[in-house]
Amino acid sequence: MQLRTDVLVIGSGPAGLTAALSAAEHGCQVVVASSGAGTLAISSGCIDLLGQYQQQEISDPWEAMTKLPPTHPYSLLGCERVAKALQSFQAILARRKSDYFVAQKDGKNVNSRLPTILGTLKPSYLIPQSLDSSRLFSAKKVLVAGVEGLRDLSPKLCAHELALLPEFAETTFATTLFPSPLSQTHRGVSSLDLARRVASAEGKSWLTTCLGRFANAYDVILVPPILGIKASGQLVSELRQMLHCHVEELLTIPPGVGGIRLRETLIDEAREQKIRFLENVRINKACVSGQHCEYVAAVEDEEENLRLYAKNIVLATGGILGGGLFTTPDQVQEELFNLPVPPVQGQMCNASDVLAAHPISQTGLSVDRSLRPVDVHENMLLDNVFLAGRSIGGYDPADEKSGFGVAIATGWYAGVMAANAAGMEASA
Amino acid sequence: MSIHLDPDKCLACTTCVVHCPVAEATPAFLGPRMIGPAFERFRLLGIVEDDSLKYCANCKNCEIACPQNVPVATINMLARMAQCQEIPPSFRDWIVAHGEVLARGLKYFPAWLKNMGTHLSLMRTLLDWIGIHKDCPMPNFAKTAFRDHLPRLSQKGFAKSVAFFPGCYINYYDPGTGFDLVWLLNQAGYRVFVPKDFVCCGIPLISGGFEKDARDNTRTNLRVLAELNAQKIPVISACPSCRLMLTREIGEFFPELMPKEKISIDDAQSFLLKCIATGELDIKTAHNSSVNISAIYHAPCHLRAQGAGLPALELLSYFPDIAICEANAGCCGISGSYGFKKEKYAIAQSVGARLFQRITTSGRPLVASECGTCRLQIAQATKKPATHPLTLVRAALQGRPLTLG
Ligand SMILES: Cc1cc2nc3c(=O)[nH]c(=O)nc-3n(C[C@H](O)[C@H](O)[C@H](O)COP(=O)(O)OP(=O)(O)OC[C@H]3O[C@@H](n4cnc5c(N)ncnc54)[C@H](O)[C@@H]3O)c2cc1C
Ligand code: SF4
Ligand code: SF4
Repeated sequence: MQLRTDVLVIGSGPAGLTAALSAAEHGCQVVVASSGAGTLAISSGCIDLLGQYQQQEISDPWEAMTKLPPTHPYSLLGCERVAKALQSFQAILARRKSDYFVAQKDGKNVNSRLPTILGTLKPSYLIPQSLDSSRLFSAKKVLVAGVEGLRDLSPKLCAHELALLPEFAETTFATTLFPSPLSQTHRGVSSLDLARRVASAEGKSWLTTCLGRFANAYDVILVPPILGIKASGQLVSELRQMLHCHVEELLTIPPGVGGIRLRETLIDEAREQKIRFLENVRINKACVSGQHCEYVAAVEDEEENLRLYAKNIVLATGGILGGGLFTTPDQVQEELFNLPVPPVQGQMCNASDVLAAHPISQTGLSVDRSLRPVDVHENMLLDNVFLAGRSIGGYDPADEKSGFGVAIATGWYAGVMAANAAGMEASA
Repeated sequence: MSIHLDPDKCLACTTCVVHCPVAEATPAFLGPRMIGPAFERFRLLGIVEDDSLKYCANCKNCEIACPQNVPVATINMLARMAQCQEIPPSFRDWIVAHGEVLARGLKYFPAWLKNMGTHLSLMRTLLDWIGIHKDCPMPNFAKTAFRDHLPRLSQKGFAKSVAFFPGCYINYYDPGTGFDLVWLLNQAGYRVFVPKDFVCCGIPLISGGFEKDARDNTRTNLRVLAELNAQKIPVISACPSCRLMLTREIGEFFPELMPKEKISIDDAQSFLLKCIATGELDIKTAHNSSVNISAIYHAPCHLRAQGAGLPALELLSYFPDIAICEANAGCCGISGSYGFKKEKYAIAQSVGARLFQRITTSGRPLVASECGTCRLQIAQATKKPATHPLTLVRAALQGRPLTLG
């Protein structure tokens, strides 16, 4: 089959979805093609903007952003555009009645510090109400509650580790295990199973009863991400009001539940914007003449399954994990357009600290300020292809805590640029 | 049976677990990651099969979601076929997998008698007793099967011809859709024929674990397809599951049967789109009819799994008289014959609930979907008529209002 559209977005991770929504908002007809559902659905759904600078945790991401190297995606866009991207993303969430917010300190937007199931704290920026940790740091008594059969969270380990942190020198931690609401299970229970159960009437009443037994005795109750599967935050605020206790979710390993809530929100919006999704489509052929991509296609067994003509393309295929970059023992490649990937800078092995930043994380494609791909001499390579998300190099999302932040900022701007180039009036 | 697919592409990321509708519906199922790639390692060690393998509906949502291209559902079906060689499937499982054999056996019984069998409450109780749920939707046999009726149509004066793989559903239960396709292809200048040797694509046999029968059918179909392809006669299918099986799956299940030349079968909607593009099918007349159809479209999972987009939506969008929106609400739950089975019925209903609700609240009076059993399930749950998209296309092109049952 052949299809024509104004803007084609390849990839449906956070960068691709944001790009699709921003191009659609500017009046373009948008098609999203992806193979696989992207990392969003398994994440915790909190939007990290910039949590660490030079390996140090920071509170004000905007101040640190001005100090980033000129090749960092945030520097290429400039703080103002990053802020505009986040505003536009927040506006989408607000329109969908999703309850994301940014913590405030001394009149400034700052990072929140979120507790994890391992009893560590992780900085993040734009977060849902269920993760609001503002009360945790002033609480006297905190309960960490697990659920029988949920092996991902050991409340004792979590409480023990949190209690060791200087922030909680004055806090006492207690732990409990709620009885499981799932009578017979053949598999290990996940937070997602419980969240889906809590979304039902019986599940909600189970949770309310469990929490009710402890609510009076504690200032904060930390639970795994089981507070339903909607991003509306309605259940969270209901529970907090009813119990007079601050119930808060912990960050966990995949599936992180929060990501599913966020993804469904974005997909609902996309459906309303009449964005079309093509699933299980691995785009592996590009027809380029000069600097212009004429069309791309999905080819299998030498047969073209699908050919897509788009005025402009947003390449949001992710990094090594997402499938946008491909590694061989000695190099990293981008396979669709065969764009040059700058060689990895720095010591590849024998890192003394295995948890420290690794240069491979910085690997990715080079872009200019309009997010078009460029070569080592900064020459533009394609005039109607814009890059977004993890496939762009020059930043380390794991170390900086900037994954979804960069994805949303570049996704939004790539969408705007694609709309502009498609002849739509888009202001950026 | 000794085919094992490499499980090591799996990164254990859990994306498939999040998107598996059966895992969502019941915690009795290990879920795609565990029963597929993870358990495959135990299988390679010869460890006994996990009983919850029976819950996999072969709906393919795990594969659609997997970022690493792990053939999870195929791993599951290969394991099921191996398991069925050890423990033979039940009588009920034989029946639901061998619809075509049954229908052929019952050929000389009139449709009303056969349909009494599927609708009389006494019969339903009996079927329930052997394990076919008494409330599950069941298709009606048509008076005359499509393949028996087709030769009686006069299709004269067409220079080009196209071979049609009708599949069991259109053939026995829904010949009307087949005739709509024939009408449309006639408009495009093609004579339509069904090669006499085509048999069931085998996907119900695979899902039921009947490896030998599926292999036999595959061998036969491949022979016919190779002949047609060699003669450059286009072959088309209007059923997503048949096409999925015949294009993507047989190579995974039966690599030893695959011919060197590529076998190609086009999607009927996709073929018609090409006819429009080449000018073979003239759709100008559609612009001054006033049929006014408003429908909601459900994309079958086995179509989404093909990774070739949604050609039906594309085709429908050519007709100003058809207002179509997409349900985009996942699996309907039936998964071929899965939802007929007594112990799976509740799971199938729970899987489809989101889709049923979206269709009900859409306010659209009509549902369109290519898959016959999806339509059966949706029509029963939502009480709205459900038709094949080709029926809408014909109505719009012919300027003939739809008559809906
Ligand atoms: C488990 C996990 C949890 C995380 N949690 C968080 C978090 O909570 N907050 C945060 O800020 N960051 C988080 N991160 C980091 C963050 O996920 C990444 O930085 C971010 O996902 C990058 O987004 P993306 O859209 O660029 O890529 P991806 O999310 O990787 O999406 C890439 C998409 O492109 C598709 N694709 C690739 N190649 C092709 C092709 N050839 N044809 C068609 N489609 C293709 C893929 O299938 C996929 O849909 C997490 C990362 C992981 C691995
Ligand atoms: S989605 Fe794919 S890679 Fe991830 S756990 Fe499932 S099979 Fe493994
Ligand atoms: S085929 Fe369907 S039921 Fe089976 S594991 Fe995959 S998603 Fe689940």
